Amino acid sequence: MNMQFLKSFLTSLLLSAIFQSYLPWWSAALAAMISGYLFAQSKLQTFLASFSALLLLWAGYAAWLDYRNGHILSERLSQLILKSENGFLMIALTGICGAVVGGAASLTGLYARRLLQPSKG
Amino acid sequence: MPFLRFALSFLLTLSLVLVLDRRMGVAPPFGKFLNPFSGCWQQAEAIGAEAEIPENIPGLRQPARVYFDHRRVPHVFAENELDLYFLQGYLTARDRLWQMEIQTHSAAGRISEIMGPSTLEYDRNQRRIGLVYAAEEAEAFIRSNPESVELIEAYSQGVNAWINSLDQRTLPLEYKLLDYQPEAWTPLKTALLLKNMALMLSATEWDIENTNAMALLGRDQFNRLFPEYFAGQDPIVPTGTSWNFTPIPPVADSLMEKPIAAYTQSQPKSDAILGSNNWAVSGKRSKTGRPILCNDPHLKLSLPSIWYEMHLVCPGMNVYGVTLPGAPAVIIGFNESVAWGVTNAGRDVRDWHRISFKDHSKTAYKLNGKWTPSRLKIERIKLRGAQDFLDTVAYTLFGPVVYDHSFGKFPNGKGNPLALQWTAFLGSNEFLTFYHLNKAGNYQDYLHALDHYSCPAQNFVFASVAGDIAIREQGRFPVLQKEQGKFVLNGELSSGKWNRFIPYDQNPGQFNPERGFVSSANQHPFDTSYPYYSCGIGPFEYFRNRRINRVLASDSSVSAADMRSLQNDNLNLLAEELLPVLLKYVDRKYLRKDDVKALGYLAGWNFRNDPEQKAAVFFSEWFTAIQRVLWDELLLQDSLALRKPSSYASLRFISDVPESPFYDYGPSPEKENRAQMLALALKQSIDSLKSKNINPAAPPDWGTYKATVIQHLARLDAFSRLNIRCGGDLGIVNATNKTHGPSWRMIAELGGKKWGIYPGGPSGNPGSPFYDNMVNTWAKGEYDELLFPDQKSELEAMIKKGKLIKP
Repeated sequence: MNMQFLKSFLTSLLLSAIFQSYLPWWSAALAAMISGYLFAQSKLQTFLASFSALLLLWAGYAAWLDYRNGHILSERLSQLILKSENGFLMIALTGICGAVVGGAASLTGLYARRLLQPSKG
Repeated sequence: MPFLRFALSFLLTLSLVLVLDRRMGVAPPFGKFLNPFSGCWQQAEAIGAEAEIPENIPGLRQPARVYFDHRRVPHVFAENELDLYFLQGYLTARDRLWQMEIQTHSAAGRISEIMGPSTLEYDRNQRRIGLVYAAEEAEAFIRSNPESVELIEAYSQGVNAWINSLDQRTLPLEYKLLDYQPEAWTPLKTALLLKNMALMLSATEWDIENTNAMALLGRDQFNRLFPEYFAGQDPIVPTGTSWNFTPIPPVADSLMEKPIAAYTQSQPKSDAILGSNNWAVSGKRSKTGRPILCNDPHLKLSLPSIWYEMHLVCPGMNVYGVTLPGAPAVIIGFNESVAWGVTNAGRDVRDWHRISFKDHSKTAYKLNGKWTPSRLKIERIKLRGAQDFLDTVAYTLFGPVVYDHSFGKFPNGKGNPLALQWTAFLGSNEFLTFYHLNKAGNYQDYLHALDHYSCPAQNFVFASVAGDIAIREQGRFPVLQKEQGKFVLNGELSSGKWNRFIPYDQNPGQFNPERGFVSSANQHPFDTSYPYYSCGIGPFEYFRNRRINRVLASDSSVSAADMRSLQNDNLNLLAEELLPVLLKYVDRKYLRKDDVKALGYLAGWNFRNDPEQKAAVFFSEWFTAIQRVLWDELLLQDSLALRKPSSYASLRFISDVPESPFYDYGPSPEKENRAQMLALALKQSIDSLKSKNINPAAPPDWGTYKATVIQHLARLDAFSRLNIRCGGDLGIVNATNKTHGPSWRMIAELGGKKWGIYPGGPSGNPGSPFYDNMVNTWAKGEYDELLFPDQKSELEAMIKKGKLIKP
């Protein structure tokens, strides 16, 4: 794993955690956009860095809250939304939801970088 | 090119965010809902975490303390009554805000604001029966009494202090799921909640159905099917009691007219199972020598629970019991000196009046031969995702015109508008009753407290540490001529407007009766000797009351354990009295193998609807089929609002009438007699089991078959408790059927221990371990001991354990 990817991943992870503690949920997209803007990488790497950062953050935080809750809520929500008894599916859905937003937003950041700083790649 | 790529990517991200921030159909806004920082996961309450409460609550007047016990019941210790009700509002909202708001929105006909156009007809009906009008009248009445208005406002302020502390993260789950925000609480909402209870419990009249049935059947047949009184039915005030007062005479007028079958539609009724048991046993008949008071109100089982348990303490008050989320004070409970409980009276307090409008503008109606202006109220119903709906409701001398050319169905599309007169429209302040009961020290205080109580009429049972027991049916009842309000009335006569009411001290009741106990179970309050007319066709109970009185009379030394088993008593008195008749008369000639086998189960049954009984399944199905086959002449009339006779009337009919055209089942080619009707119903019941994928040769037990449901208020199965295995049924002391049951079971030994349980939990949050923590205990018929310190030292120790809250 290269350093740029790691930096981009961590920026996305930390920045969106900080943003979301004070701002509405879509601030996660802003964080990923900034991360995408800051680091010169390929499209795939940029996308994957923020995708995996948000996947980890959303699913991880949800999984921790779910663990402390003894899966009471996740099982009820899974039944309600996914018609399944399996609470882990709700955690997966949460992670994917964040990841898709993060990935898409980071690409927007990357394209902004290429538009504004064409020399830096 | 780079710009295009950026622009496209930006638009894609933006639309993704926008889509995930919006509701799609009934699906929640996924991004907003799922994100773990401010979405649903924040409602995943950690197991074992202490109840959180801030150190400062703005709006509090003096420091107070709150102690949450191991069952998460809040014990509130305030320095004054205003702070006490402020904290009651705050803590109730903290646990139950969404429930409080959805119930009052439902009362006000505002559900479509949240759910969209699908609930429009429901909202229209709520507006047209005048529920908001009733709440506004109540609010005006409350505001005319400075004593209570401050207390009710303090409660509102407490609720609002909680609402104002909320942000997107702490917003209750259902708001996130349905994506909307709570609004400020007001005393009007408290009034709406109480009027919603009035609707739930006092919509017991059958005027419209009786009118149709009378026209269809003629008086003789009508009276046999729908009698006002049966001999031997054991009223609340026992037969033989003399009435020592001079009654107020009714207004003499010819309000009644020849009934015509002219009504297709009627109002939803308070369910027959919406009843309750309460009784008090004198110390002379109890093992400990202390009076014991018991109450279990049967309501629709719901989550969050209809009740919220609390202990409220301030100088001059130390009361424990269950409260209604949205209203200050304890509704059913006890203090250091007294205990009380309620059951529904069910008496007819709603009359329907046939209105003659001048034209479709509804601006004038005929009264005493003259065109009289009506007051038009424009109802604006907001619909989520659609344009507002406007409805015009005309108000007459009697009340709102519910059905007219723009609302309701009539046979052939033609019929008369109907106005509703209801005691809930008469300004009243029921809060004061509970407020004074909460502080009551003796029987006189109890009587004084009841004087504020108007609607929905209740049977208030009472016991005191001093050794008194009492019961009183309390509510405002109009003085009526014979059969007034039994049928639709001529609305062209102003004399139909109630203007004389039964004085409260002439309401039926008992104080320290000879037999050593008082009881009620929604039966008739009195026999035919009571000097006032009251329509006896209602939701009146004929079984639970007799069973309770039989048990109480047979035991002269009752214990709390006896009371627990009586509240959980599963003897099916209907089966005990009806089944021998059915087995005697049923024609066995054409029965199939499975039908005969079912009779075998029934013949060996002990008449108990215990969860493990199998025969109860057959009896329940058979009796349902019997009512369908026997009363098909009434039930199959699509164009007329009609109803079947009560189960007691069915029992009497089958037992006493050997031959009748009713025994013939219209849809079948044969002409059935009683024996064949019973056989046909038995076969149908076996077929019904098969259609439910139940093998009648290997039937499930009663508890599994009945599978009681405690439904979430938004009817979401995922937030409900399904398939609860427990005993009981309609007409049984343990009146738990599939959807209704004891919503609170309480046993209070005056000066001794107290027990209680309700089928839910203190928290309204489906993500909390305290959402349904009491359900399993409740289903087993077990109780929790309630922490109510009798001794001053114990109380002080509890206060010290409480968390200090400052203004």
